[in-house]
Amino acid sequence: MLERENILNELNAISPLVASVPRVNVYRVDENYFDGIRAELQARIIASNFIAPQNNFDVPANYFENLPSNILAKIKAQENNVVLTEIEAISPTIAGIGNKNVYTVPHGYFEQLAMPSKASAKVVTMGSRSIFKYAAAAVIVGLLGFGTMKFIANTKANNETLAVVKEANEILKANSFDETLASVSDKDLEKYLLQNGEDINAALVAASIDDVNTTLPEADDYLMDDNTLDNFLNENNLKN
Amino acid sequence: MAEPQSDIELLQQFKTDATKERAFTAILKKYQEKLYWHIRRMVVEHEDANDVLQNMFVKAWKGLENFREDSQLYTWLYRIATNESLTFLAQQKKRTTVSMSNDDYGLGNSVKADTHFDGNKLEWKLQLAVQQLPEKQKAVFNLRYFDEMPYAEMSSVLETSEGALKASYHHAVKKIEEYILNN
Repeated sequence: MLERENILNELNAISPLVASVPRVNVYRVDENYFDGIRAELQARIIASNFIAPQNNFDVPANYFENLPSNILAKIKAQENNVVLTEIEAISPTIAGIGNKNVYTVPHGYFEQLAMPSKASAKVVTMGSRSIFKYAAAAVIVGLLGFGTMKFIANTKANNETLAVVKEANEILKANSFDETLASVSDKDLEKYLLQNGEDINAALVAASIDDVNTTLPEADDYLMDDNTLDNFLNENNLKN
Repeated sequence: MAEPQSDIELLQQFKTDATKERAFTAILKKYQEKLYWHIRRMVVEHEDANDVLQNMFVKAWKGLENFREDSQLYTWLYRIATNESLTFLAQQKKRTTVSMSNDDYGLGNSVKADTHFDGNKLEWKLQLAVQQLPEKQKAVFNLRYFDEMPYAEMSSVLETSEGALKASYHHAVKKIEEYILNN
């Protein structure tokens, strides 16, 4: 209180001009203007002890209630976040983005995760993956066989169709498919496929996988390397 | 309602790990409003004041370990708050680069942009006038006029002799008077 009085007295001492404004005209303006404003200012200053200090600003609701926890959180974050400091040094832009998790989990997910499962699921063992290789080979050979039969059929006149079908039946009955297929030259196969708008590489791939030395890539190989198929075709001279 | 703890008690508690955070929270609660308003009058906008206040308390947290009790806690906090505000204003001024006038880099404009601004009210004119002062003189005026701080404590806060502070305050009042009379 004493200090406040001292300050007010000091102000009066510093600013005798305020009291003597009607007599001191330091600025060149309309003389009537200052007559009015000086009197008004003098009256208000004396009444309010030279404008009582007051706050003219607002703060958001609960600002001061939350401030201690906000500041402590900031201090802890600064002390602990070595990662943030590092990323700020490397890339302020990325640091500015922050590492907020953008994903959500279903309600109660983590609670359920911690609980033991009621029944254990039956484990089914998958067979060897190599079976797929033979299955694929069988499908392609089958297709080729069918194409060969068509080829054979097409090389004969339409009036010979029945004879070709009969021959095909005999091949199936005698189980001499492989021998018959082997007797068809690659050239004839290519010719057939080109005429029928098929990809020539399909025939070559089929021919290659019949070779016991040729191994098709494993399923995992495709996952590990996008170029697996290209590499396989190149290795076997199958690519144009 | 419990009596607020003395600064000496709070400082003792701050030095013990178990009571460190509680003591700091008590210090915050005790001084945050005074320091906020001191900073707010310096930088004008709430968001800036909030940033400066938080930064200064972070520095206080770091510095309290080595705080020497031969000075008062509150003058020490005011010193950090004032220095942080002055640093903030200097950086803001540097960013605008062109003019040296306070008004040109927006503090006067910020006052006018306040939603409650009323240019006809004398207290708002006073705020505009304060923003015309050089930054350190503004701090001197605010500490004396709004915070009613004795010169001895101001001397500790601003690390300036009492004589120089009295002279600075005198000039500040004169400039404000001029501003009010002319606006």
